[in-house]
Amino acid sequence: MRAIDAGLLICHECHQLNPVETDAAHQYCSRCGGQIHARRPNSLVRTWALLLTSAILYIPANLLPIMTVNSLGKGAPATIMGGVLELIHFGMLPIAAVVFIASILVPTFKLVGIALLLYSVQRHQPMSARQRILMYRFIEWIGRWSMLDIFVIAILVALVNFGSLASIEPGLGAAAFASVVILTMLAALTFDPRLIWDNTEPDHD
Amino acid sequence: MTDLPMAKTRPASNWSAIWVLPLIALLIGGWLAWRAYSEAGIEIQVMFESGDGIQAGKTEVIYKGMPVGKVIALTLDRSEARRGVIATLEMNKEVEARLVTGTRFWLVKPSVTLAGVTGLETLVSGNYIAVSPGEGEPSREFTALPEAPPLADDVPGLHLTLKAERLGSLNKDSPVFYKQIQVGRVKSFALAENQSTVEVKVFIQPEYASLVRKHTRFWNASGISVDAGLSGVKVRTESLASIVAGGIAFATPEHRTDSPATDPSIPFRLYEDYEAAQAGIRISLKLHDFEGLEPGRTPVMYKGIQVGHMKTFKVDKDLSGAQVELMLDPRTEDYLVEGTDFWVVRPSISLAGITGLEALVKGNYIAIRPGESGSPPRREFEARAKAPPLDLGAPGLHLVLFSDSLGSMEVGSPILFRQIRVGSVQSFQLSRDDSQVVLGVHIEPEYSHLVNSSTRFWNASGITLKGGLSGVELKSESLQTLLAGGIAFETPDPKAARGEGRVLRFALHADRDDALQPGLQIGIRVADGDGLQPGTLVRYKGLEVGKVENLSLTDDLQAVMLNVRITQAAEQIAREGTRFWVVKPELSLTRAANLGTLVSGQYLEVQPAGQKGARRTEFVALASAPNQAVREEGLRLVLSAPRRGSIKPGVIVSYREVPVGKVVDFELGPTSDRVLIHVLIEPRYAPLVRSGSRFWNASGIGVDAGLFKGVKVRTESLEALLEGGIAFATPNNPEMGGPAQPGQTFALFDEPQEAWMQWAPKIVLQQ
Repeated sequence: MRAIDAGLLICHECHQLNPVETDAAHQYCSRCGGQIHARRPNSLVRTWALLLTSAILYIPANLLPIMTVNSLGKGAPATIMGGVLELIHFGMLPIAAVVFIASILVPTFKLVGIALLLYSVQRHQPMSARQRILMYRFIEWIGRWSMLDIFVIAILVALVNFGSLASIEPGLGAAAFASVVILTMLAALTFDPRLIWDNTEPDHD
Repeated sequence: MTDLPMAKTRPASNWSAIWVLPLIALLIGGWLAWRAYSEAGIEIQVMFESGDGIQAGKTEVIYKGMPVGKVIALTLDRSEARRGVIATLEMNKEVEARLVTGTRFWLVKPSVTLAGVTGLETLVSGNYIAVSPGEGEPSREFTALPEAPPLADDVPGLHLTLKAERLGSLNKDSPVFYKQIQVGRVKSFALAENQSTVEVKVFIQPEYASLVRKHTRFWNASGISVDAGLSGVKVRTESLASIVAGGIAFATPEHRTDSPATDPSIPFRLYEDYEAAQAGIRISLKLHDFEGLEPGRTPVMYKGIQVGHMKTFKVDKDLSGAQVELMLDPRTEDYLVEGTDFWVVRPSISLAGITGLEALVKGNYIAIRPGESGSPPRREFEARAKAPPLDLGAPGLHLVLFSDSLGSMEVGSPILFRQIRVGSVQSFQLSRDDSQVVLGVHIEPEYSHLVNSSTRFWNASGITLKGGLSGVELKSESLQTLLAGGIAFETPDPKAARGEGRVLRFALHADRDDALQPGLQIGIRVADGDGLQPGTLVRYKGLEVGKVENLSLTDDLQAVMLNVRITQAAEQIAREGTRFWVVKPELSLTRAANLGTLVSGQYLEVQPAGQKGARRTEFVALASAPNQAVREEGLRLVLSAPRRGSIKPGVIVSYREVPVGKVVDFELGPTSDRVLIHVLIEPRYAPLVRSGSRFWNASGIGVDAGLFKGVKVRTESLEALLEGGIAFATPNNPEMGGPAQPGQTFALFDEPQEAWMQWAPKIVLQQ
């Protein structure tokens, strides 16, 4: 039993339940006046598009150096994975783990997770609604934490700027990585979790 | 239903604007991919001897300070032939054209060696692989050089080859200094083909290339050269860096500033050190006396300036001498000609002074006196035994003195004029017939006018002690000449002519008196020289008029010849008729005469000729003083006596015990039966003597003894008792006779008669 089956629509903003107005092209919330849809229009398509974009950008984000550490006139551009390897090389395994999780594992998980979610919603894959919503919640929750790298880079770039002695410059990879993070967050946002229940319906029907 | 038009179905466009995003992302990704591809490096493989210091993914390839690639992988070479490490390098695309067979790779590591610190930047940045482009076919496989390649010859700048005996502490990249500024470096070094020298290739930076001239000298500036001697310690180093790293310095001799530019193809000689580089001219010198000489240390000095040093030293097989090699300053080149003298200077302390005092401190050295510029050049010389005399060409006056003996003279003994040093003895040697010593003398230019033909030189060495009973005369020119010897001179007539000839000749007299005696030399023959000696005076009326210079036996050995120099009134004395006699002390029972000579020594008395006679220089001395009375005024009488008794010249003739005359002389009579006594009566008393006068011998004591009259002792006077004497009496007026005639002879009685004593005539004396 879904809300839509009961002829109710939920407002995105204020979560007011509104009865379905079948004639109206656009229905607005009776309380806050926000536009309400039974399901977000083109949610799947948009999420796919954003997901694909972020997947494409994920490649340069990992291949291009995210920052260049200049020290005493010598600079070595470092990719995300290079930095992780370096940390491992220096024996700082916990930090390496944090960076790896935040910068590699989480984005990858997000990309794969959203893709799985979309696929299972679209193709009625045998994935329980419960599993899907758990995954969705986790993806949405974890999304903000994958900004860790960009956050660190931003702080470092601002802090470490001693002219030719030492400075840190962001690389193109950082932009790509930031885009990946933002796009996956948007993808998670554009995905309408109510679709999870829609697609499970036929299983119970 | 079939006519129902079929609904034209059009697939609903489910195109969403959101798909622009993946497209943009694709575009961006594509662009990035294309860029990555277009910028992707070229993989090449470089084989290294070892992977030491190379890190995959880290070690960069740097060309001219620019990273052009990176090591991406490091693998062991598995082939049998080559055992090494293959580094896979990812090179930037833009260097693709340079990846040809001639391209060289080598690893730059920080290296701190004695030759210098290289690759210091790698301490910070890590080792890197340097690349130097070359030419050839494109290639992807290379073999790394074990070390940085030498500088290519086509680099702008001067590329020189130096030939050295030994490499020293030189190394690749050792600096090349000019005035302690690094202007280049050592490119490489190798043994020469003949394996006897080392060829060092040197690069001079283009801006300094003009400093290298044709006559430029290079020397090994490695390390410190400490040259310590008594004259001080000399420490020389090009720079602190060169102490550690070694290095080469060069300079162009000052006198070669006009040297033409060098031809880089002609190799330069690399000298052992600065000293060697300065020295240029090798000459060989034969030494007979090589005491205290030390190769490498013994300097060659010219007037106190070092112009070179002794390089090698080899004693002859027969040990009689040594052959040494001298390295002389190139500036001396024009003077290494025929006539150049070398000699060894060693300190010598003698009465003549201290010479070579500097050698006492510095050690013996070799002195050089350059020959005349323009003579034929020579490179082989023989050293002189001692310092050469001053060159006759030197300014000043050059004289030759002849002397009988050298005395305490030495080379360098001073020539004194009024005790001012005006010159020095330059040389001495025996004359050709060995009879005299010939001294070469130099008078300094400002004093040369003091010498002319009237100049007389004498040996001023030592002390002249002239002693006699009249006193001692001690003479020395100066304390210096007393010790060192010396020659003094005086020029009595400053306006006299200079004299003929280039080199004036003079006699060197024994002393000043000798030299300056103006007088006339005469010879006096004396029977014996007893008591006479050089220096015996010749006197006239108590004044010194001359001096005996020397005595010699006559040829017949019968007499002694006195060489006498008459210094006063020589014109009057050296004439016919002048008489000389020796004045000796006379001491007898009755008389002492010339007692002064007992103290002052004997002397010669001269009696100049009365009237001007002919000039004469040979005389015969009288045996005794000529009778002065001969020419005295008075009445001359002769007394005839049977014997002389104690009568002798000078004995008084008395009248009434008053001396009125004296005995002048006595002689045997012509028939030898009588003694004739010449008597001179003073003119005043001449009237006393009459023809009837009686003379008797008043000497002695008359003793008249009788029984009844006792003993009667009678004598004329005590004086007459001692000396003897003659008395006379003249009878009373009637019998006195006429006045005695000059030369009249009287008898001399032994004793007077009583009657004679009573005679008392009145005779008027002459007034």
